[in-house]
Amino acid sequence: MSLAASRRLARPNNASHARISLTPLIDVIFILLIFFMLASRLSAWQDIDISIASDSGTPQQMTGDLHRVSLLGDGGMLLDGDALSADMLAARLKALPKDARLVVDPAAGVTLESAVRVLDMASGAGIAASLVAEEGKR
Amino acid sequence: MKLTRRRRLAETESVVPLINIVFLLLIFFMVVGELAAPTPFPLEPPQSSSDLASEKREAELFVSADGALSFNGANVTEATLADALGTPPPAEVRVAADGKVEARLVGRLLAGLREAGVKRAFLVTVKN
Repeated sequence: MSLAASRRLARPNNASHARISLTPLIDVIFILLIFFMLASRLSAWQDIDISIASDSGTPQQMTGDLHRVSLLGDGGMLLDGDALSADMLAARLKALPKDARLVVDPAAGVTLESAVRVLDMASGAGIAASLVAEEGKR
Repeated sequence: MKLTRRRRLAETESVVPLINIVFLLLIFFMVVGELAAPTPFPLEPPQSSSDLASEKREAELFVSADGALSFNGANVTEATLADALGTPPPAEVRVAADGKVEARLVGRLLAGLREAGVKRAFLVTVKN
């Protein structure tokens, strides 16, 4: 091999060919971006441990510890029959003994959001709460 | 002459900021989002201040805003849910219900789970 030929092999014959193209990289990054945008959930889910113990909700098994929050269709709340505002209800729940159990009984037309708000108050007060749908009041 | 050369230089470099932004977006979605199996229908769980991170339980029940049910990926109704639970029933069930669904429906479903022998149920919420 002549000197001139070996020089030609060693040196890239065109500078623009030697540069790596960015386009495939961008393609792959875009695809990854779209995958993560579609596959990920931005709002993290949190669980409420909702007590479904077998002794909640039936009047025969009501004990002194069992309290009932009734949610009315017009947004009203009753704790053991007393009409209360949301703030008063939260205060009353905090005042209950910690071994108390709570039954949240929504009327027809009450959304889960309102019921969960009360369940959340109960867990803030450290009380086990369950969600029921009493048959008689449908 | 000088002007044309500068323009050509700008054309080749203009891709790099784009890649930077796309990279940042990619990293944002990788870090902030959590990879999760898609829900069978669009779902907006109610808000709570619970700190218990949601995790996949033995079984999963989805309730849509209009009351449609999906248990472990199969469409069920309130009547066929007990059969879908199987024997023995799962001990723990995660219930992901839309915040707009009627609370009485969820109450009835929880009662149905309890009667079928489910020990614990977890209601999915989002942090408020």
